[in-house]
Amino acid sequence: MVWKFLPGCKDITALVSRSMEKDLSVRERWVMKTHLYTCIACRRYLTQLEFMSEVFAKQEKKLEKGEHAPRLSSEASERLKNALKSSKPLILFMLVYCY
Amino acid sequence: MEQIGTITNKENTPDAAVWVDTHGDFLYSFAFSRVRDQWLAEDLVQDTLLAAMQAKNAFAEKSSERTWLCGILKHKIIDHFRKSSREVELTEEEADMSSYDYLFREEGVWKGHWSAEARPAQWNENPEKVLEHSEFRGILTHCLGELPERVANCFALREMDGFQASEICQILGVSPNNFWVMMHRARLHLRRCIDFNWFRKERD
Repeated sequence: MVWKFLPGCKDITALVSRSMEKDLSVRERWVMKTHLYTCIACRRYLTQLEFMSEVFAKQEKKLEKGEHAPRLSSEASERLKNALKSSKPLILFMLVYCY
Repeated sequence: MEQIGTITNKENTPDAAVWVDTHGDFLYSFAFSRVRDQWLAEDLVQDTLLAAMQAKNAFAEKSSERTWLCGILKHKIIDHFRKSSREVELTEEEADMSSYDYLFREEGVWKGHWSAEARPAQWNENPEKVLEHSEFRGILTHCLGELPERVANCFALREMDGFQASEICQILGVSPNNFWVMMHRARLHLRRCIDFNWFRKERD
């Protein structure tokens, strides 16, 4: 019946999430550690959060290298080039106007 | 005046077009991974290149052109987040954790413990390898997109850009407590969503 008074997995998942950015208090850490010791599902939850962290960070690295990245469609790059071109008379106009 | 105009035109036009060709894809994919909206991503890239054209003299050769442009883009994205989250408190939708209640048992001795079908099962994958599947990468974007915008942005700022909690609170205008709530929510959702769309299929 002891487990009735101990925090359940629902509370532990919140602690696990917080532990990824912030140091928990001694009490919180103790509660989390003892729970993880006996609960394989929450242990997996922690590993899977770490897995996700790694995946998002790795994806970022690949993006920087240009691997597997979504590309601008050719229409989109045309649109961009046109927008950049047409902005110049506007800037010039503003300059002349202010002058 | 006209003469000055043609000179500036000649100076600027090639660069801007070249930027679109050489860095356009990169800038776009960077912006898209943050805002998950094609049009908004295009707008951000356009704003970035416009700002870059005007500040061209400020470009120091120390860094590569791409790093420089990406730096401007990052500012534009953060500005966008700042502008779009004026509310300090979380909205009802953002703070709503009840949609995750079903993950845990609501009654009995095991109240608050994982429900049988939501209990995390083993993930047999390597982060490097799994990212090679375009379907998996699509799932990541899809799952992030299912979250309320500010919650997804919060997660992206943390896990993709590596910002500290305090910086994110400042950008999104939320209290530290709300930051933890959003991160917890994002993680519960993403873990479940990735498990459901990718790993469960493998197990079956």
